[in-house]
Amino acid sequence: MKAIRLLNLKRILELPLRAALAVAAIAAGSSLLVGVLIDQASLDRSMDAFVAQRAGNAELEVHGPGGPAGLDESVLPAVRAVEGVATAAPIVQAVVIAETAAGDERFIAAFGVDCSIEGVLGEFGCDDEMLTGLPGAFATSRALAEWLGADGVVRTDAGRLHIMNAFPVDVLDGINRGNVVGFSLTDAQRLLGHDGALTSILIVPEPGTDVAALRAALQEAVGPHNQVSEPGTVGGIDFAAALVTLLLFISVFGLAIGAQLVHNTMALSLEERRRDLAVVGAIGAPPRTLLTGTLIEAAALGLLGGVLGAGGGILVARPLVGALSDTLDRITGIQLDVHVTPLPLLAGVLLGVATSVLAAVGPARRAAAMDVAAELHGQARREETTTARRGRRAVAYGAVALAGVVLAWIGHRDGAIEPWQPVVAYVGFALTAFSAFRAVQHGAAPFLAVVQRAPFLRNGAARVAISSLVGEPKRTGTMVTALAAAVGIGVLLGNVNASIVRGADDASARFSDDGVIVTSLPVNNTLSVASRLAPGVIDAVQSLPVVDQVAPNLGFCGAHPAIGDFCVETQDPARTEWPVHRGRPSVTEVFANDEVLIGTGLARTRGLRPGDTFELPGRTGIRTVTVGAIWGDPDNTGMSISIPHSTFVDLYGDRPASGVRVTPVAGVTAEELDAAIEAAALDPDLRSLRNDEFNEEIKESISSFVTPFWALQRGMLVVSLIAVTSTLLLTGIQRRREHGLLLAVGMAPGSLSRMVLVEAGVIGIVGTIAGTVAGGVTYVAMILVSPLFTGLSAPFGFDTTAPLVFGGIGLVFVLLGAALPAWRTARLDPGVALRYE
Amino acid sequence: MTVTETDHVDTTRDGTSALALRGVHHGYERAGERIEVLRGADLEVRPGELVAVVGRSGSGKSTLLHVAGGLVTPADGDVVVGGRPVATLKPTERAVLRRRTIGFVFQFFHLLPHLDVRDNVALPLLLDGAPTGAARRRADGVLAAVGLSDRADHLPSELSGGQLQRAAIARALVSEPAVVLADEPTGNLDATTAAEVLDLLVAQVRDREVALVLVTHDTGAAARADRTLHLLDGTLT
Repeated sequence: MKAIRLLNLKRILELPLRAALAVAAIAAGSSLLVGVLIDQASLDRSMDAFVAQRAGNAELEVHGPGGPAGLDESVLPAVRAVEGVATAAPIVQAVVIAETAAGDERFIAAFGVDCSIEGVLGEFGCDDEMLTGLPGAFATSRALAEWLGADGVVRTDAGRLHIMNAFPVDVLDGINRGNVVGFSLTDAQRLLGHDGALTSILIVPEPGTDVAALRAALQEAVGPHNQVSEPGTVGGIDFAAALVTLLLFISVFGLAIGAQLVHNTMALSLEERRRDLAVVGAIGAPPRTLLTGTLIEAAALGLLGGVLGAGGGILVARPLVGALSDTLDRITGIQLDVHVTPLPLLAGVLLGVATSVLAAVGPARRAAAMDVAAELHGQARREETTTARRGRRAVAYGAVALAGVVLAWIGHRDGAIEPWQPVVAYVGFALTAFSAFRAVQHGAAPFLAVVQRAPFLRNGAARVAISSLVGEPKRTGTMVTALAAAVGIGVLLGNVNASIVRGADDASARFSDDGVIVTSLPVNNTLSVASRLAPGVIDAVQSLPVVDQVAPNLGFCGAHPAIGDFCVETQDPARTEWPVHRGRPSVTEVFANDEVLIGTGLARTRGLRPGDTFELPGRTGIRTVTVGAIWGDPDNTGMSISIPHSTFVDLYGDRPASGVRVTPVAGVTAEELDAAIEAAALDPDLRSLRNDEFNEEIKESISSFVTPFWALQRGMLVVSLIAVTSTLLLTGIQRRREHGLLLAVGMAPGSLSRMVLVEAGVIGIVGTIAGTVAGGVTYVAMILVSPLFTGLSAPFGFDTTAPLVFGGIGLVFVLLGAALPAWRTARLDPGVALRYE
Repeated sequence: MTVTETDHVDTTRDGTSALALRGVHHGYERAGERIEVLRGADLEVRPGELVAVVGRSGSGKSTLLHVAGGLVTPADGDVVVGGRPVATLKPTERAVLRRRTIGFVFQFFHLLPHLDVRDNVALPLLLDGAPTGAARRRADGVLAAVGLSDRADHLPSELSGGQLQRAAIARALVSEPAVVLADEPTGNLDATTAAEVLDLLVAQVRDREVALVLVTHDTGAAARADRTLHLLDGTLT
């Protein structure tokens, strides 16, 4: 260990620039990952905190299968009659919009309770008469009242409630950062779309009651269509988990790039000190010491990078949590806080060390296995593979990358309904991403060997520069790959994000354009928001002379043991036509046969196929339904069950619609219909959206959804560009002696500097081309895999500006990376450079 | 690495020789052609004996030293150092043998540039697990013996060629080896400095009764040895 401290760790201190470059790469890579892990921890903690605040002393909760309004209120007496129940507190819970006079909106949690809630939360002087005595009055936190101001409103399914009707309750400031309002149970049922329904019933057992036995007794009392479980939240979690998983998936790329730089750093560093290592071997260091020393050196760099990355992760986490919270609050009403827990930080540090050590294993093993005698005698043969062999390897890796695309296509085909398909798709994507960039690493020098035959490259600094690059294929491959990774990441993520937005655009464009959507809500992810248009308003729309039909859009997400997590939505047969993968060819035909349509995610995870039956739990019982078709409905990541409106009402009750599709009478255009509805001024929150307006909103919503990905893309570009710059700097340092020799044999300092810059320019051009190709191929594989995460098939469409933008940025960094070596080269003293010691 | 790793090695055999090579054959491939460098080379060096090996460039002098030092495994023949048959040793055991029993002096000094002179000299001891303080004190003693006490804290880049080779000699002697293998130790120095360094090397090995195998082109240097052997056609005469 003493020797390792002298040989390896002391060297880190002696050569701080090189160490700093490797540390920066690992720090940048691990900070992305730590940021996403903090994101996940924040999500979990915020949810847990909300659940704990809401549950109080309750140990069990009864809820129905139909989402927020899924429990029929008739079960309450049966629950209260079960022996061992001390308190059965009915709850109505929803998300509503709070709006200031200036029009600023915030999604908040809304609760409806009766005074039995004191049995759950403890006594606070609740008076049932007071709660119900002032219809429309509500409790709010002081923080929310302050934010809303004197003229703020809370929007409900029954219209706007002025803040003047609110009375502040201090205890609410401690819940969900104060973003909460409370109603009497009966008001909440009326205002929050819970007609005859509850969200759940919280159960506090009698002291000494066997909770497991009580649970069984409750389950018996409420019937199999309802559930008794530990207190929890309803819906939304899976969506967030999918988002975090995707972020995690992408951030691993960042760490891989950091690992590549550590590999480059260690490989170049060990190459540079081969003779030193040979001397150490000659005077008695066993191969194991050389191996261990190198790995400990890498671990030290990884440790430092991991610690810095953990700190950076906290900074990265804030915008990520903010973006996630913005998407999630409209589903759950829960505001996410950044929770920095030790585990993600520790994971970041450990990952930094592990990544760094793993990246150094190859170079360390080669160093330990060197021929000491040959190295000391200057006869060591470099571990260079011939250009022809590297070319063959590049072709082989290229073929594997294309095979990966084929696998991703097989895994994605036909909606990826078969359970084996995601595995095949992921393997295909991984093969493509890995092999495409390996092909770049091996193919760079052979490509230049072909290029250098061009007549205009046979003279001057360009000839020397390209010959030098061809003659050092390993080093050239390393530099080109560093840049190609940066450009490739830019091309990949830039196009994937654009594809998702384009896919959403295509999806919304499938709606027929002969009518308008009338709603009071944002158009995406607002199924849980109880700030919908009041039934009276919709009736008023229906009564307009220009209106022919009004088709409501109903839906919810829930969970039940019979089917797991699921979502149900009504489908207007005339409205959308997602591609049908299997089964009956149209919605009309499916509904005509009294069947349902399901999304690909549900088909895959539940193994359902056309003709299969499954149990669909309703508010008053379980109904067996038949799958008529599996289609590419992207809503709720492909977990939706589409049923006719009448069936929905039958199973889950008539609920306020989050939006209605309005079609005009004959002879009236969509534009005229739109103008007539808005001119009627039926409700201050009513919005009539033509198809183009609806599409634009969907697109904006999806764009905000991919905000974290853009943030990650920029973060990864920074990581990649650090890698490019540092690799070039390291190479410049390594070639000092070679440059000294060229000066000694008569090359002018200016020519030498030019040669270094020309080399950088060549690396820049080749790296951009290679990165575009490798990133493009990986992009194809990724859009084939992305429906497995998002449920949405993203169309292919290559953005030709991406390579130019990212290649241009990359080239600037490459030239910056080469500028210092070029400047130093021009001032090099050949005598000093050629000295051995 | 522990001190006991070579304890199982037979140390009684050939106990009278510091170094013995018997019937050593070795060669290598160059441009597809097999070149035999050593063809049955025999060498016996007694403790404290100075043996010079001379020969033309490319005759295999350095290869002979690398074989003797356990850096290269010969194609055939036996190598015994300090009573230990090198061929039977594992790579780790050979490393232990080199740091305890053999000292190397190279033509181009080969000090590690990021370590100061003291730590360069102490390195074989540190590799052997010696406490840092003790190793540095021993290094200071040897540096004093070679006249470099005032340069102990300097980096190699701050030393002259002669001083670098003195430091390299100190490193070779610090572990009190049985034999020092010197490969053209004055080949990179001017005549005056070369003479001084050679005087120092010879004086030190004589004083410490350490065997020395000196590979050199310099007949004057070879004349300082007890015996001079010629490497010709792969054999020593």
